[in-house]
Amino acid sequence: MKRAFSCALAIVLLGSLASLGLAAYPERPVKMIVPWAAGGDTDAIKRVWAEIAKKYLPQPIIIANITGASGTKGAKEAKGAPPDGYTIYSTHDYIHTTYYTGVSDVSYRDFEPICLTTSTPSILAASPNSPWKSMKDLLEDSKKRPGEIKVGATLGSTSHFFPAMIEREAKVKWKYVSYEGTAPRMTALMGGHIELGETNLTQLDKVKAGQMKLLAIATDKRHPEVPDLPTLKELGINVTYAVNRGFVAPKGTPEEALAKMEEVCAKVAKDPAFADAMRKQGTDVSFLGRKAYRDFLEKNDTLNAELASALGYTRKK
Amino acid sequence: MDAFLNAALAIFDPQTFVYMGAGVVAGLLGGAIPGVTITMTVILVLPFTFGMTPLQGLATMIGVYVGGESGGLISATLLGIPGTPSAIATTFEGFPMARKGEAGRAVWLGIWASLLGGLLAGIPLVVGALQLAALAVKFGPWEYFSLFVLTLTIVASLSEQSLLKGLLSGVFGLLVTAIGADPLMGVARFTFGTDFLLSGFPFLPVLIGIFAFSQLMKDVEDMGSGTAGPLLRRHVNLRVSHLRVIGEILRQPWNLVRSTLIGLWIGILPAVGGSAANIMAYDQAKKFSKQPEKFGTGMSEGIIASESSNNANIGGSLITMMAFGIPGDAVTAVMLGALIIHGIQPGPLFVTTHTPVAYGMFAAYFLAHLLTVVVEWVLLRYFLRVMLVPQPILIPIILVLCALGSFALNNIIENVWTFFFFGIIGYLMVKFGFPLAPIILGVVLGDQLEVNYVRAVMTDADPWLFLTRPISGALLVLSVVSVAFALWQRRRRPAAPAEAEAEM
Amino acid sequence: MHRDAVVGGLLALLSLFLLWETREIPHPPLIPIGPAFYPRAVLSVFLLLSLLLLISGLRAPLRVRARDWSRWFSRYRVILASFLLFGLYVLALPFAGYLLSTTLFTAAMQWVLGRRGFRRFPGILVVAVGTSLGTYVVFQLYLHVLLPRGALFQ
Repeated sequence: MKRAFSCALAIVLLGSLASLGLAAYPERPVKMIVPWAAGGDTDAIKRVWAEIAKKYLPQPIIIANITGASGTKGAKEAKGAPPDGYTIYSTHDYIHTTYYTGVSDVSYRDFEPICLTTSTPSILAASPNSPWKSMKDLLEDSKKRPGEIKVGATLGSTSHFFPAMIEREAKVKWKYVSYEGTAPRMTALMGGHIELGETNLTQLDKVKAGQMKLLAIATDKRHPEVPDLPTLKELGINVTYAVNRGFVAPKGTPEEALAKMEEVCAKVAKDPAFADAMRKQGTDVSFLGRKAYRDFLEKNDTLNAELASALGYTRKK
Repeated sequence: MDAFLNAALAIFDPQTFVYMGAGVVAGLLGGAIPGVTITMTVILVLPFTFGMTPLQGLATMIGVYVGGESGGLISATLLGIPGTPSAIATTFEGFPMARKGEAGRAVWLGIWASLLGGLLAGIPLVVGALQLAALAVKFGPWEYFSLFVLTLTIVASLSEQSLLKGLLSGVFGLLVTAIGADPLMGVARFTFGTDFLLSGFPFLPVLIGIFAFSQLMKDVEDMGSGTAGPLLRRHVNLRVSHLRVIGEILRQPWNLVRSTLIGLWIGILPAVGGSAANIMAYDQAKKFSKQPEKFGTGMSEGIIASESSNNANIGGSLITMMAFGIPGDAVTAVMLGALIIHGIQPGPLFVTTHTPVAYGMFAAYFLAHLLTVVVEWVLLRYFLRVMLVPQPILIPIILVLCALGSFALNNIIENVWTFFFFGIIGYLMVKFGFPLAPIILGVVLGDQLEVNYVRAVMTDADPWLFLTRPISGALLVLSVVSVAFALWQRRRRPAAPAEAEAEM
Repeated sequence: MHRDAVVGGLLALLSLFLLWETREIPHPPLIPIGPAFYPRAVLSVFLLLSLLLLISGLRAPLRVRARDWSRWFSRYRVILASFLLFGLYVLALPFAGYLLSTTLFTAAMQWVLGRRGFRRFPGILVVAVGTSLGTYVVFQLYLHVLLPRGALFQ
């Protein structure tokens, strides 16, 4: 009897030890925290990324969607995760905007940068019920009814900053209503409960189905996917905006792990399959390594701090 | 129609088909094993659906749901114990019939009645969900807010226990959603400085705790007292002429249609499950029967009423879930959670924006019914063995699986604590006579209620719009009426507030 | 007095306490209604309902019955033990890892639920090890759930 027990115990112990091993990083799956729901644009992009990363990493990357409160729940979870290289956090510009609008206490400084992966240009979209045919119509109407046109946005995040920048440049005044996440915002736009909202090329099928209209894109030059869509710049509104997605890891993550993930990042960025999938998502592949990504984050942070204060938000401690 | 056919074809994708078949088998088993409810089975299947496509996951869950309703009747007729609460009325007639030596007739009457009731209810499911969804697209934040209020008051006023406790349970659910970062700006509420509470209580572990954990503890409690009764073990003759059985059902068209309609209606009402439908349908069958005195001795009418209504109930629950994003019962609440995990926003636009998934779900609903009959045809006799797994083995395993299911949501241990904590709350609520359905509805709708209220005010500062917008106003008036009606009904049959004090 | 009165009273106290707690919730810019509004509204309704429950409980017929604590305990002993055991299990997970704690939990739980005695020992063990290894294979290896590995083994 005793032998049966100790045998069983030994099996169990061995099982636990087997997963320990002594091999090099990574010896078990890596968790990727995505702070938005599955099916959103970040999730869509990072799922493809994780799939392709399998080729270059002996262990799978497992996505954990930790959602809520403008994406700050996931950020807090990532900040508190053990810095052992087995948690990476998929972030984008919202990490700056939510910090400077006081929505979140988590800053990019709480993490070790790994790499920038992609950048997705923003587009201003209007409800199919709206009377405007072009950006010009919208601006004229906005001047006639200041503070009345309803914009759906994730408050304090990129979808809020982007229209707010247009507002400032074009000297108009809109009204913001909270619709968190791209999917609910698009739904409200279709239903006509809001009139404007930020979107991107991932939603192109909805335009074709007549469920929304695109007014202008925030790139430097016209985008090859939508050659008829004017840029904000050529309309005289000096705004370029894109959502830049990358990976960071909790502060204190070992050098070895960071280097390995950076290497995987670089390989995925060069993989034609990834470029192809991103083209379909209306997203540009733009890789930056650890060093360059750190500089990028720093610059972006200063920029967003300025924007936030220009838009009237002051970070209170 | 084309879209529907395409969706049906998507279901016949071999992988989807296999997943769904597995779902049906799991449902049949879970439904058949006494003490394991369909909700619990769906919960156990949930983690497996994370890796599937949304349609595969939902088709699997629909398989579990449909299979479960049929599984319940097997133990109800052969063991005299309802495998699920939605087969309670089936035991009244099925078990006596089986004891008279007509086990095969009893079981197959139930199986064929389930199939027919389910298929009949499928028509209003397809038509109703689409029509209601088309109406619901016009809903702005005001209408949503009022609809959620109405839903909560209906559930509370339908609860079998007191109206007051039903309302308290629902409001308590709303309160649970107020804990943690607020849904708009992420401001901490009631966290008492802890990080644990900051992320709030995720809805699925709460639901799993409230329903599965508390039910398991009830099972533990009943374990000592409940003797399984005179069990029909081996040597059950299940052979029967199927044509004769189907003929017997079709000779009672009114019973079949009436019970189906009752099931459908109960299903459409939010968060009232099949456990109410089968008893109501049974009562009505008895009332309309020419030989009501013979009920309880193995009348086919009772079996048909009970089994067709509980399958029709699935159709009704799915209508509410697909058209409004409001759970028709606990099982559809889990499905809503699964939709959200797959990044699909439930709500009126679900059908229009995710047409392939929605139509695929309709197709899955029909297919699951057919699959259930096929699986039962092949495997019926083996189910008997599984039904007799001793509870001291079953309960620990299910507890572990529930813990795993909660953990697997996003790989954090806090979810298991949430599951445990709400298991305790659920058990206490049962002991003190609070209904569980309203709290779940409150937890599901809480954030939405708040967000839509704020949205409404952000869109237009005029608070009277809740009353002056016609649909919103009508919904609010209806919710007042539902409470008033419940009060009036209780006044008519007074007493019973304090009787039957459960020993605690 | 009915026990509802006690429950109602306790719930009323809880809502008062939470209402008091809402005073520290800040009101961020950008939104017209602060995050304190919703909990306050819900809590007010909750308070009102608990008070109604308290009153209806007080008005119910008085029932004095000596509580027999030893009977109560013998009835709820298994339930209490089950809850306790599960709590210990969740506590143990991060330290002892999934496999070890699950094996111990399923074994102990079977024992609590009445599968005891030396003769049943191998059976208990088979179920316990089977459950933990089986779920480990399915969840960790097939579904890629990152089960706790246990701080003890690191």
